[in-house]
Amino acid sequence: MKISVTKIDDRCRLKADGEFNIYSAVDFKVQLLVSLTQCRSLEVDVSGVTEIDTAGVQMLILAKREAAQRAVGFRMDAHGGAVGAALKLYNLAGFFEAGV
Amino acid sequence: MDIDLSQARQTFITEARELLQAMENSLLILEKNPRDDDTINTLFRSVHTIKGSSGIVGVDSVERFAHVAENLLSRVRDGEIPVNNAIIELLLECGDHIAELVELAATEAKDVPQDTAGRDAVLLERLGSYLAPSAPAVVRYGSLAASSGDGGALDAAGPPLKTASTDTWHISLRFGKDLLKSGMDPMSFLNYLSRLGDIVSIVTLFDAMPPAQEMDPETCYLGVEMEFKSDFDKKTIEDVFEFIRDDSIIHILPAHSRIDSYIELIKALPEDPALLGEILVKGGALTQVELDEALRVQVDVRDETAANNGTRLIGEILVGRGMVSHKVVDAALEKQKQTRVNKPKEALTIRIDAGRLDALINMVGELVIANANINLHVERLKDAALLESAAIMMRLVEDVRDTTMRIRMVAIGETFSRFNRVVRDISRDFGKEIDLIITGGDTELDKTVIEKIADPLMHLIRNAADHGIETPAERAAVGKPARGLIKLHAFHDAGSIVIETSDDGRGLNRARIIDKAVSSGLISPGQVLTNAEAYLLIFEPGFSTAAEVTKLSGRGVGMDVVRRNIDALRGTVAVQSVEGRGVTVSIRLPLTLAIIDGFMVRVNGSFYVVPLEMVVECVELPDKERRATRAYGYVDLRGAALPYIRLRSFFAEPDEGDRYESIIIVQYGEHKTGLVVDVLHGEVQTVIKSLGAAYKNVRGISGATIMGNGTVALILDVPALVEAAVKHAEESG
Repeated sequence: MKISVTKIDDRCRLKADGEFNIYSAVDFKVQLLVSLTQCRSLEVDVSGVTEIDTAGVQMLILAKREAAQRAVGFRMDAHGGAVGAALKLYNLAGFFEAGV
Repeated sequence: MDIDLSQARQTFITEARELLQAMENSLLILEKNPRDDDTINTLFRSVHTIKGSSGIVGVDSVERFAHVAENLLSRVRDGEIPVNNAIIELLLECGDHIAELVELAATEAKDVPQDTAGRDAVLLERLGSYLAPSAPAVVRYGSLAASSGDGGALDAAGPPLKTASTDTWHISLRFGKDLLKSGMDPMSFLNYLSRLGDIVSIVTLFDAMPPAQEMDPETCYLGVEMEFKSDFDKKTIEDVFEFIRDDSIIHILPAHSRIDSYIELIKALPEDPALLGEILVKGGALTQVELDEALRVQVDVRDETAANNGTRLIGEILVGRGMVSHKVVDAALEKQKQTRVNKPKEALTIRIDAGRLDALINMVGELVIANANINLHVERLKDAALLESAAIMMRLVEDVRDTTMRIRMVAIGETFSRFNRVVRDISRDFGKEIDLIITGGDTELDKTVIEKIADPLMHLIRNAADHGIETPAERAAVGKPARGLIKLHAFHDAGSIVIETSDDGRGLNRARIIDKAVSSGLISPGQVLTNAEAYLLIFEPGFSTAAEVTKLSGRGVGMDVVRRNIDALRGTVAVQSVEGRGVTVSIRLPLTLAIIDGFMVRVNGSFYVVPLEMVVECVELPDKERRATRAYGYVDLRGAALPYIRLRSFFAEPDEGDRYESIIIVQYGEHKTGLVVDVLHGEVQTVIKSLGAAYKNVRGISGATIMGNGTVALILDVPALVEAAVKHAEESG
């Protein structure tokens, strides 16, 4: 999976493209933690994710939770695409929409 | 394709036999401890596996029958049907019946015999009587206790599952930490469930997820609480989680479960009870009123908007709770895992082809001989570096030899456990009370030896139970405890393995045995016999002093077969008895190994090998004895008289008189004997080669071996030699 980080001022955007699975989870975590230390708001763009498994879902949960913990703004479009379908199965869409 | 199938079928048959034995063992344990959950689970799994495998290889008769038995056991496991003697008896019979079906499948019989079919029908009917539609009840998993501890939550008023209802199942899952690493994914289970019904509501929990630093991306921290609507039965729903059952926490509450069950569930799960309660209400499992009433405690209201508002999204509940409790959750999960029923650790084993193992052992044998050959040459060359390498080589070859030998060794305990059933059945059939105590079950011996000794032992135990142990009334009359005792004990002793069966029953009647022997012409009327010799008469063919012949024993055909089997294994048997107190039968068997460590000796020009494990020490033959040139004699060994045999005389080698000779002292059982030889050569490793039938009656020789230099050495039959010496000593007074 390709992970790209773009930073504008103190806003970070973490874009994931391809298969988000247990193999890419470790990489994602590294990038996530780096972004969280460097930015005041984080947007996670999963529109390019073609497939996601539970390891991937856990990463997204971690992202939202850690952001909230550190008072970093968090935004992710939880609908549509592979990620949307997975979150629907787990009924986690609400979790990602709550708060910002 | 055909070959593969028959191989699989063969594997199934072998495994089925083992599973059936495990099933029997479990049932016998349950007879004494009806509430043993571990055993109930083992029992269920055995039958479940038999059902599954038989289906795969297409043995329909077994699958069909095992399926019904499994249904019954499923109910037993859930606590709906209590374990009692009737059920155990029924299941033992079912096990026997399945065994019969398996054997029929093994012979590939086309037709099922009449009485087997009859038994099949009768047993199915009896099983069926337990399986009449029952009310839904709480399913037990992990640490969730049955609500009232009386073996079930049978709710007589509940509706049968057949009528489709709008009520839902509540399924609670906490996935095992290593689930993802094993290549599985919770999502596939959820997807599969949706094919069996409707996931009406679902809440995903991740309280178990630790802070980012500790969070391992490959570990699964998720749990799920869901309301599931389905017309399928409980078993089908349970089976969805078959592959994760052992490592994940799973609770399934059918529709209309008692409210207590939900409370139990809340208590059993690691998360905050209030949160869980909220989830249950939100999902529709319970109404708020039901929950509050049941809890009868003040719900800890963390947020004012909570219960009154009702519009709080579940997502918000979780965010608020997120990380705080993860340590608590972790600890709770750990504790739950520990207190859960522990799956018996399955020993890691591999099934291999016996033929290949034998081929390997043969090759190792050749390797040993070849290595010995090399060593001869190496010693001759006296090259230091070469000597060292050869020594290392020798050690490696020894290790390979020892390890290979050990592969064939099997603990005798499993064979022993078969006898529990025999004793139990005889006790029941003849109105006796008999306990079987087995010790030394982890004593190991060669697989083929175990297979051949099983039947003789079975016969001895049957005898003890049938003829030895008296009825409770008879025992009481002579002041013995009502329960008779049969002991089965195995242990290693000086290179042999000893198996003892003893009972505290009537004991042997020496007078009656002698009488019978005289009347059968086995001994002459005036013949004097020691007790040991007298008791050994019971092994003569056709010999039986049993007052009555029962269907099991007493016909006199058993004991001589027992004796013959033991002889075939190069073993010996001895009987001790005290009339009125009991009998002990000791079987002594060699640790049959194809390669032995031996001590080589020379007599005249011939080489002989003495099994090293029986060698005690070597001493010089005193002058006095040397000149005597007798076949048998005595020497003074540190104050005790040691009988000896001069092998030169014994094997009729020409006598040359007055030469330097040595004695190698051997021990077999409790007897020590000296063997007088010309030269002591030292330790050797040799491969036993059988001499064949032609040499079977040559006394004193049990086999041959090829030495490193190619010459043949004869292996001495120490037990026979010792026996000869003892006999000679007794006869000459």
